[in-house]
Amino acid sequence: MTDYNLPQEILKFKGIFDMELLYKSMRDWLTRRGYYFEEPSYKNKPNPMGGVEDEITWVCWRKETDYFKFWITVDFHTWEMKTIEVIEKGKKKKMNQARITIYFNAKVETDYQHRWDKTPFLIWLKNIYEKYIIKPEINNIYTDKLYYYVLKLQNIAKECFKMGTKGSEYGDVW
Amino acid sequence: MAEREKIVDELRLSYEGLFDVNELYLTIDKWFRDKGYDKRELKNVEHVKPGGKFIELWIMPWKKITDYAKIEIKLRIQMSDIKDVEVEKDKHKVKLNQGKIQIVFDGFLTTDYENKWEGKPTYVFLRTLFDKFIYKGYTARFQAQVAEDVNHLHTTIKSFLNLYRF
Repeated sequence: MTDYNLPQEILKFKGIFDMELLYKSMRDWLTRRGYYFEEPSYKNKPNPMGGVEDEITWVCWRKETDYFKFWITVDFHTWEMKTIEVIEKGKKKKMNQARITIYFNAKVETDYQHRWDKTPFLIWLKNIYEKYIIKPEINNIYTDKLYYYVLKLQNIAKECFKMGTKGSEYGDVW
Repeated sequence: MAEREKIVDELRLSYEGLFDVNELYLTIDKWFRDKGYDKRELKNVEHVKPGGKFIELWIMPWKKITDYAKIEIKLRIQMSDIKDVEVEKDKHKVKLNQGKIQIVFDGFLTTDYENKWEGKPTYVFLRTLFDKFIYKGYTARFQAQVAEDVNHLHTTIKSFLNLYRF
């Protein structure tokens, strides 16, 4: 089993947004693309100064082939989160005001079924296989594909925050 | 470790006035895509302040030229006091933004990015000889390409921002 880690993407925002919309949109995006979704940790700490501090972790994975598996980990950290009421198009709506940082981490796992680590010979063969035979596929297909998937997921968050840097010209890559 | 040479050092662009934040972002994104660069965002911060939005974006797309050399362009974009405004253009109301922008451009040529020549001191020695004497023509051409790309991007953004002036 070998992991090919991708560069971490970080998104920071401070202002008014809809946490429920953010949560649902990102979750929907992942489940619609066939990712198994887990929320192993959810921490909620009330702050005596006002608002709450939340820490949410998502771990998502998808079997891409019999040999490659995609992992996406999303960590949300919010500070001073309050529920406020805003008027949007003449209607009252509940929104959140907070400071939020989202960390996107991803990796491509190879040989997740552990078929190639049973004997020292197989381990050696796997090394040769990954270093020389399927290296272009790892670099140009699988890690690249997952990287652009993560950027798409990041863009969903940017759209929920209505950020100036939302959208992407790389939308049709993978 | 790969060797990173700074070819363009802090080329700056400042602007204050009307523009569209999202269009600017997409113009930069499109430029990198058209030139064959891979996307990489190092920092993306947005704060909504009473005086307007504050946006800080650091991007560093890269393009592999060969198995040995790659170009990296680093853009540090800072936008402040960004407000939403509505202006009338050709009898149509258009939503735009008003504020200040400062962009800093850096261009790098990174060689041996796969760290193939870093295993032993003899490899490092050989690599330096190779870079300086045998591969000199190619290195100079790659350096020129970095400068050309950064200048072209600088001009593209400048033209984009000038569109909103008149």
